[in-house]
Amino acid sequence: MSTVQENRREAMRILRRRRRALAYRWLGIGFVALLAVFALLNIFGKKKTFSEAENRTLADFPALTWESVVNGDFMTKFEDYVADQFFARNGWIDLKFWEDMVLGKKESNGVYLGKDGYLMEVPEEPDMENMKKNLQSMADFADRHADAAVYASMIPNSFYIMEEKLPYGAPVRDQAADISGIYDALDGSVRCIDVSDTLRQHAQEYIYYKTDHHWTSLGASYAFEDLAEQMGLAGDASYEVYTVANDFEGTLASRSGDHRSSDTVQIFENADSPVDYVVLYVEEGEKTSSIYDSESLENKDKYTVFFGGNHARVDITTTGTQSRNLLLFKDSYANCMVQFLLPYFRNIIMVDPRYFYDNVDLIMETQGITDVLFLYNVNTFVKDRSIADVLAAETE
Amino acid sequence: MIFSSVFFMFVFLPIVLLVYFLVPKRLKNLVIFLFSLVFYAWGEPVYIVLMLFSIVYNYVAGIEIAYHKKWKDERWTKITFWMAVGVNLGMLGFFKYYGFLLENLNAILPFKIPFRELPLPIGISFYTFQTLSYIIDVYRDKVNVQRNLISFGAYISMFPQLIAGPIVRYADVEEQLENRRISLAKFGDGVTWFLCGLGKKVLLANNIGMAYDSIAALPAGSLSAATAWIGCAAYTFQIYFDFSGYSDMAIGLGKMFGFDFMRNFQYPYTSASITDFWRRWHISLGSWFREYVYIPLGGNRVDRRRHIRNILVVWMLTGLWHGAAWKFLVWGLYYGLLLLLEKYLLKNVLEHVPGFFKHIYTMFFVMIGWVIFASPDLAAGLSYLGAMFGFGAGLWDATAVYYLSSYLILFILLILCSGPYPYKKFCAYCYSARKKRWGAALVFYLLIFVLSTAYLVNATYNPFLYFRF
Repeated sequence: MSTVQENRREAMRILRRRRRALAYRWLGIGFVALLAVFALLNIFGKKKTFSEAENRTLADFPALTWESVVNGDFMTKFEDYVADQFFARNGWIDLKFWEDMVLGKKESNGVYLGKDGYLMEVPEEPDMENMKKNLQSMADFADRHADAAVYASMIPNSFYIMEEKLPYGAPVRDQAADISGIYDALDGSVRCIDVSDTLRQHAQEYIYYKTDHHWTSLGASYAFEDLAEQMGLAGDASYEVYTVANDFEGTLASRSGDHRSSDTVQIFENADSPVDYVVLYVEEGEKTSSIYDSESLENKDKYTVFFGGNHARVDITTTGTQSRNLLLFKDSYANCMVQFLLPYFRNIIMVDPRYFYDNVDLIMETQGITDVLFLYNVNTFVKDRSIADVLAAETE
Repeated sequence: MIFSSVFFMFVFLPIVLLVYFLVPKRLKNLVIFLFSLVFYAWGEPVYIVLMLFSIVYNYVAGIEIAYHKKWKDERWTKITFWMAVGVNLGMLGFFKYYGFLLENLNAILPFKIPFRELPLPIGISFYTFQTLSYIIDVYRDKVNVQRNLISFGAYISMFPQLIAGPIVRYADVEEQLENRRISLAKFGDGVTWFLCGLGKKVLLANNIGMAYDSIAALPAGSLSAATAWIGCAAYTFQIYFDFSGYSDMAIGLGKMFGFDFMRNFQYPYTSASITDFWRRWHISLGSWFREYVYIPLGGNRVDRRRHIRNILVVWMLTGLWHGAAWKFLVWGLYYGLLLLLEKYLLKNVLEHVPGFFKHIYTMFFVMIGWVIFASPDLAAGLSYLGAMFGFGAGLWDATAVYYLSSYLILFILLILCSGPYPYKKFCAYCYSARKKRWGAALVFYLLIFVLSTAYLVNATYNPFLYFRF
């Protein structure tokens, strides 16, 4: 090799090294500049208390005490505070979601990103021990109150009914097996009403929200047909349907960060036998004349248009002349079922065991309960830890 | 506090950098020492006492050993030395292995010894090995005794490598503690390491970790072979990108402060044998064991029987270093046996096998090893291995399709980034002599920074696998 060539190579190498060093220097400056800008934006940015997009309260600056420092509480909370109050937080969250999409991910934060904008909760493993206790207590309760008709209906979740909307092959629990296991355990004491087949027949319709973990009023109306038949309520009513919200972004949208679709909330009013009634929120001591809470439509969670959310006990007294009184043990899925049940009972007492600590046997005795219905969605039921406690017989 | 958190990056780091570069040179070690204590106390407010004790004790022990040496008092030199080794190992043993030991004793003894499992002080396995390297090297005259408590404290507690290594030997930084070059270009070099590590950890490891976690959470009997292999591959990538990413961040931070630490990983998944793999994986740990256990035991310059014993001892210890559990012991011995096998039986065979098969062979055993490593216990590990070989739920199912299609892009990225090729290409492109394109490097690194920050702000999932050790 000639020296000319060698010199040329040497010069190239020096040039390459210089350019690398130049890049490093500017990178050092750029990095520090970005750190400084971000830090300043965080310090002087406006603090927020609530995140609409995530539907949760954001962390506040923690109180500094000796104890909280020694046990590490202060540090953890300080870190939460910095992350929660990061400038342009929503923008970062959107960027992260976009990155996930580019990577081709099909789930985000325990939510499957299904077809046609459907978001579906990744079902968790059941809490077998508590579920057994709950089922036993339900059977005991039914046996104890043999004079009342006790029903149970487990509402399947969207991932099971609308299976074809899941990402292909996404692993889910076999909810059919879960439901039949529950019904088997209750068999003989409680009359079980299976609504799965009915819902499945309407799987192509809008029976579950896309962005929320609840079912729609339409879904509840189909399930009601089964309930009406089994419970001997006059079915086949015609309904006046009102659309009350078009821009509902539910909890699954918040959890997954996927804000690409939104939902419509509808309410159904029985057109054949309209009833007047009074709703009493027992714990809160409030009375209204509607099961719909129009103020909730201003909120993020528009599903709370039904009763404004969950309450320990809600008593509904109708002006009708029916003779039956219903005690409804429920989770939030039942909130939109009550609109269908209204015309057929004189009194409906809704009890949410998660918030209720009183004696239910007393309700049975004093309120002349003729019908009891356990209405839950499967995901909530298999994780529930409150039913057994509420149903436990009072031992004096 | 971990590096890949909003708090570290946008609160702690800016403050440290500001103070470090404002103070005069003679105060820089003090700044490192004090901030390291804050960094450690942030996650372990109580165990900071333990660390301070370790620093002071080893500082004094070093001086004492040097003192006895100076007066040629061999007996006392030995006594002080072994005493120091005992105290360091005793501390590690008590906090890390005491619960495990008693648990197993209780299982075989007719009576029960009551005990309370202590939470493991973060980083104790790392800083104990650092103090030992100092004590042993002072004893062997490999390094000078450190008489400056601040410098010594800065070495032991140095936050970049405090909780997850690399295990920096005192001999390697002795000079740097007093005299190190700090420059803008070196700082920028550190930034490239740091951001590469951040990207590896946050963009690659955390994301593929989700695949592993959700596969591992599936009921054991329902795994098809394909799904089990996908899960195993996911963990294989997760642990590499997680740990090497963290090491890279440590090395990068070190460079920002003017230190040069040894690199801890050298593309281990491109290894052509198990022996090669352990020269490229967690290099600082391997070389620590070689230097302070294997060679003092006689290394390979002894007869075959003792050599086999040496290998097995070293690998049993390496396994146990990763945690106080039987699975880690088995995992260590597994590698010990593989290495012996390669050394004594496969050596000639491997030489004649085409490279492609050597890589397959290596990765196969490495992946099997990770199953043992990752499973909650040996029984779970065995049933997972069973699923991988078709004893679960068949060979193939829709779940496998789901995971493969969800993570395909990520898997391709991970495979590419496991080898040296992309970085080489990147350098050739950005630092070309023909065209001025270094700006592209700048854009690339800052892009990683921004993309990673998005994940950190949403930090719902940010585990760190090497925290337990």
